[in-house]
Amino acid sequence: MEQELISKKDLLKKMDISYGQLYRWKRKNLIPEEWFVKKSVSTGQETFFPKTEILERITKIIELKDQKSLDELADIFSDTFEEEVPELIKSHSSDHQVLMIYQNIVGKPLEGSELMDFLMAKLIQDYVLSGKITLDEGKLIYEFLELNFHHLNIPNAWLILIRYLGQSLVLGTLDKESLILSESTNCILEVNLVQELQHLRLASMN
Amino acid sequence: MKSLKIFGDGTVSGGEFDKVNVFGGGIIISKVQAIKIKIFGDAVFEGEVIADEVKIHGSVTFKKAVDIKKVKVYGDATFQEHAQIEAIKIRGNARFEDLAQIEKLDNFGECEIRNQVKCQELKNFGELNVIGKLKVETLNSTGWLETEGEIEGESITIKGGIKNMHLINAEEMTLVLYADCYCDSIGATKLTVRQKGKDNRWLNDWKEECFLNVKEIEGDQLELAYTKAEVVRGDVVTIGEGSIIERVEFKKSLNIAEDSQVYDQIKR
Repeated sequence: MEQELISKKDLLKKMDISYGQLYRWKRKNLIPEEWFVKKSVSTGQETFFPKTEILERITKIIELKDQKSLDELADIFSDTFEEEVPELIKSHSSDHQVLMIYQNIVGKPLEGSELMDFLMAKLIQDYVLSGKITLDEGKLIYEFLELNFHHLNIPNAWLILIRYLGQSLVLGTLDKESLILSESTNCILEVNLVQELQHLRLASMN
Repeated sequence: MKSLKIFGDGTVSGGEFDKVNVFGGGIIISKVQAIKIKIFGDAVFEGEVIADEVKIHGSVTFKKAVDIKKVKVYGDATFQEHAQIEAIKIRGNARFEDLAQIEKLDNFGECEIRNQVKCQELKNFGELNVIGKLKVETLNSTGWLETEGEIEGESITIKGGIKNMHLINAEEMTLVLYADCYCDSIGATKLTVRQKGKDNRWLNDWKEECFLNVKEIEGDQLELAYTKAEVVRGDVVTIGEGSIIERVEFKKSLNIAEDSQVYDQIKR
């Protein structure tokens, strides 16, 4: 599965930022190093970024940069979440429907001592409740995460739900680009767990 | 409290001490916690070392992690594992084989960092060689600085020579060319490159003009002289004398000195 890329030049133009800002954010770890992809082009080498991720990240940085210091922002965008569990307990979704479905899928109420519990609640809210995936598929995802969450809790890893010949199947990949699916495969859901967790963290701050 | 002194050759176990002095050859086989450590001969610390002050006149190898407030190296020191140091002055040789986290590093001798170093304030008057990444708040180098990985810093001033195989990423960087310098790429908010000044006349006579050779420079305010670059991209760009640039992409303004050559210029 190929990732859509955006060149540095186009990125700066589109977001109206300068080289200095981009390098500063890189230095402060607001933009992960893995996102800087060097590629050969006709005029030499150019740097590219994964398009959706970088646009989302920079929009967020620009939105928050006047309220928060760069170090605070670095914490928001960091890839480790273990310390956030107490914060999340205070602010997690108390949507009745989400809690019901959570109990249905997981088999117990949302108590939330683990990071994964909140992630699951978010996936239910975003994808099951909206009808994008079915309840049974939600269960599949939960079963998969229960075993593999710790493998996929890294920046480049994705969780993918496909439907093939009417069957649903959950896959995990450590690197989306190295996954090749046949064209007839219906890719229902692509979730980057670290990004989802970052969304959770942002939501818990507001 | 007790102190440990080794005059001849001795192998001893560690412990808590006020002072540790090694005059001959000493092997300390377990963890040492001390206020002051002085090495005049040869010493090997096989366990962790936690100390307030360490002075090395001879030669010493730390085989495990160290956490030291003040280190002075007049002889040779090798840190084989993680080094956490508040302030280190190197007049002899120091070699860090693992990560080093140092608040203040002054290098007058030779220093080699085989992995990464994170440093608040780094002054280099001698030769500093970093195989991995160098992350600093402020860097002042008048000696020779060589890095294979990235250099990241808020304020970087180099009045000497530099060779960097990766990227220098700085908020503000000044490079005064006392030797031919090589960088793969530089990204900075503000970058100034100029020839060594008239203030150091005898050095001036000693060598002809020096150049910065670089593939790519990107920044907001760029003031370059004696720079040979493939591509320069910036907002406000001044190409001073002695430069040869294949392509300049600029946003707001571009000034080119008469004796400089820019083959291709594009306004974005």
